Amino acid sequence: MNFELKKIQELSGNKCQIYSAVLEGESMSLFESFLATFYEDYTDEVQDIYDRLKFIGREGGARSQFFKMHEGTPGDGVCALYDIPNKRLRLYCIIYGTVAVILGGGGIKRVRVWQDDEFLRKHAELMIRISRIISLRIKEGDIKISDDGFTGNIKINEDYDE
Amino acid sequence: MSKNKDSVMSQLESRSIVNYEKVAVKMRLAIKIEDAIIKAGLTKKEFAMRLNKKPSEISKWLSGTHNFTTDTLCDIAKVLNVNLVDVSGVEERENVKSERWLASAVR
Repeated sequence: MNFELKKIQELSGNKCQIYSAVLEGESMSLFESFLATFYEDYTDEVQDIYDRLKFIGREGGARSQFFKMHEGTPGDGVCALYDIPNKRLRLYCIIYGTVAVILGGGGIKRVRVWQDDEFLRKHAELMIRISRIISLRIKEGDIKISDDGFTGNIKINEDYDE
Repeated sequence: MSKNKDSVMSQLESRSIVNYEKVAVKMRLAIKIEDAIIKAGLTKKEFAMRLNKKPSEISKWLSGTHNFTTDTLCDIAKVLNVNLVDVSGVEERENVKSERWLASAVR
């Protein structure tokens, strides 16, 4: 799987750098696709997510209290931004301390666990895979994280490395 | 697709002008409560027990999405010894109004 990390300038700020992944062959990032998919039918919910992310970037940082943690495998940082009560529009993310977030996709959560919903499973598993790849690149020194976000080779060519 | 993406982002930015502050207040409140819990040396479970709530409800309070009632904020403020609702200016303005009425009555 090949992808590139793209910083979302509108949401990033002094407290946190916010990225999304653009999969090879796609013109939109996972987050942009999420917005385009759900904005028309869930305008208020999407607006709320957008403004909460903006607050995270500008003022609050990616504090774990804002996320439903442990959505992925133990220790991989995969989580979900909290849904508005009773609305259940779920956005999957990966957080790196409080200084960097990678946004993925998501959808309406009508089941108790994402494994029971094909659409949510696809997005959650994608973030688990992205998290694993990024962690490996950090371990190898290819990518670094700081208060300024990700630096280094943020264009991931998994096939090439194999 | 690209045009649609840009259109959605610009609409979100435009509506953010009105919506952002409402969202920000909730999140600042959540941060203030969590920091106060830590300062008080309580776990979230202990904090929940003091308010007779489940830990899952506390997690929702701290998520930045919750719309608190003033009663709940008062209960939290009492347990954590922190000011969450500042209305101290009201009494002062009422005193000024009384003084002005008295001053005009005496003339």
